[in-house]
Amino acid sequence: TMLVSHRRYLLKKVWPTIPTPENKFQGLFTIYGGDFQKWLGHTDGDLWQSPNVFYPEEGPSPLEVLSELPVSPLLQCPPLPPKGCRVPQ
Amino acid sequence: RECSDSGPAAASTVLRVHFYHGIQGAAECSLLSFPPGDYVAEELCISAAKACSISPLYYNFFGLFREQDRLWFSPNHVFHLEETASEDLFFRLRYYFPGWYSSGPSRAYRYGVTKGSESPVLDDTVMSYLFFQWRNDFVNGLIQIPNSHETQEECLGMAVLDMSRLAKEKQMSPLDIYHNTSYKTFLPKDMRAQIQDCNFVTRKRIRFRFKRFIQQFSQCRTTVRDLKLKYLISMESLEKAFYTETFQVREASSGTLNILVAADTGIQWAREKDSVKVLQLLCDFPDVVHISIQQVSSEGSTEGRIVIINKQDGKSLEVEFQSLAEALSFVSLVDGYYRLTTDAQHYLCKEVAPPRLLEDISSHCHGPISIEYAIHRLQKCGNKHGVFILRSSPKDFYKYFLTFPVKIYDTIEYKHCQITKSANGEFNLSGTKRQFCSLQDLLKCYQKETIRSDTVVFQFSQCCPPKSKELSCLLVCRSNKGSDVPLSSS
Repeated sequence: TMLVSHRRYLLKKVWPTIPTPENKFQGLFTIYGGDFQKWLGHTDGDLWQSPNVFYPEEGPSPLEVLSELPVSPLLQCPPLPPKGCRVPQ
Repeated sequence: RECSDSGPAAASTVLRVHFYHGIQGAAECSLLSFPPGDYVAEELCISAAKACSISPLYYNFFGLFREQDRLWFSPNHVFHLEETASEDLFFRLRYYFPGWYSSGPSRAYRYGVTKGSESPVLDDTVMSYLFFQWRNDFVNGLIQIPNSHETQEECLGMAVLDMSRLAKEKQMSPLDIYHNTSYKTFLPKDMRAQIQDCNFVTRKRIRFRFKRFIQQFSQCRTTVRDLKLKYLISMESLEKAFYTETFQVREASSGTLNILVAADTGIQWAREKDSVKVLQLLCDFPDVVHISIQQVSSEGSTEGRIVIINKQDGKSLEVEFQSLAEALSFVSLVDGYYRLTTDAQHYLCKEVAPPRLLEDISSHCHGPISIEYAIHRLQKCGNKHGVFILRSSPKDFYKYFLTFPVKIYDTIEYKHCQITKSANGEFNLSGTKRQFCSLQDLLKCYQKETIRSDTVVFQFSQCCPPKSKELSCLLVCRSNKGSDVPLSSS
């Protein structure tokens, strides 16, 4: 047994276990056929599907301050037809 | 290469804000340069965020960091820089929520108006920025990674992701990258040295197995985004130090100890007990009521500062920092996490309060909430005529909106009138002529006026202010709080 363990020791010295990256991608090729996104979704919990669908910003609404208008818009209206220029409420 | 905010980066440049990747359209340029002058940290962060296309919804996750003394600056810090000064700062993501990428049980997310309308904490732009930031910390050995077979394999896996990412960005094959650049440059400095110490045969074996896997991995169907995301997920599980800040303090009963702050664990301290380090929860962010900073009264130490954390249970904690700068770095961290987890419109300590937040508070501005959220709030007010919400734009740092309901025939519609802030800090309501030096003054003026938008006549008579601790999309629900915090505000 001395010889065997000595041989094992030597083997470990010359041929040690080395770190390899493939252990961190288990199932990527065997189960998910190289579909990284699918593999990722299954190994790291449900991921947000589309994290970029966020915050539509509507265009600003036009605005006028009545007191700032140069002349009252009601007076600027052409006289005919008389009802056409009224601001509908 | 021209990349300055303020003219050519000539000899007059005294302040540089660095990024971890090139700005769009200027691949090799990764900094903003500034001439002598006074600069508020918050405004520098906004300039940096704009240069990196980071929107207002995310910029409060960032801060300015000085590498040489590992100090963070509070948003209200003013840099006074004269002709002879030289300051190099990094624009870094400071606030990190583990599990932000997941919609599963261990997730962190932003509150939505209703259950099911939660949204992710970060977007792809921020994710990509964080990738380059953490990659920098990882490869340059800024964060110590435990040395075990397991972590070595994780590091090699990350090198595979990184090499494949680079290949995709350069439209080359990963094998070409492998032949041009040593795979070891994708690994942490310490691990490179360890591999270098191995004998020739072992080195060759590691290299061979790496090459064989890179070859296999190149057959994989993937995107740059997913490669970066997996890299960050691996990093998060590899070492907590990537998102934990540690401070050395003195405490009356325990002497010197370390305080650790992270989003998911709150404020912890590590006490030395029988030569074993024991981590104890000091308090979580929502438990903090107020923080104050005092000068150490004892002689001998004029630099030191005592930070007093007042808690909800009426108790308080006193810890002593070596300097004011370190105390402010710590307090701004807790204050920032408080705003992201507990109350978006509140500060814990006036010494670190962000200037924009003070402005928001005085004008009852909601911050960059979504349209959806603004409408939800107006609905809660019964869509009353005259009620309005002031919010800042989620897209543009220099725009605000007045959102209000209008009744058109039998339906309620919402109008969004825009306010712009000019470079010299003046506010103007779009469509009007006057400029105001504060939002408050602007509102005060137009609250008495009659407004017309399209065909609707309106008055901004009643402001709908933000509520304290309101659950909006500005707040993050953490994975450890998933069970005892309601999902929705409605």
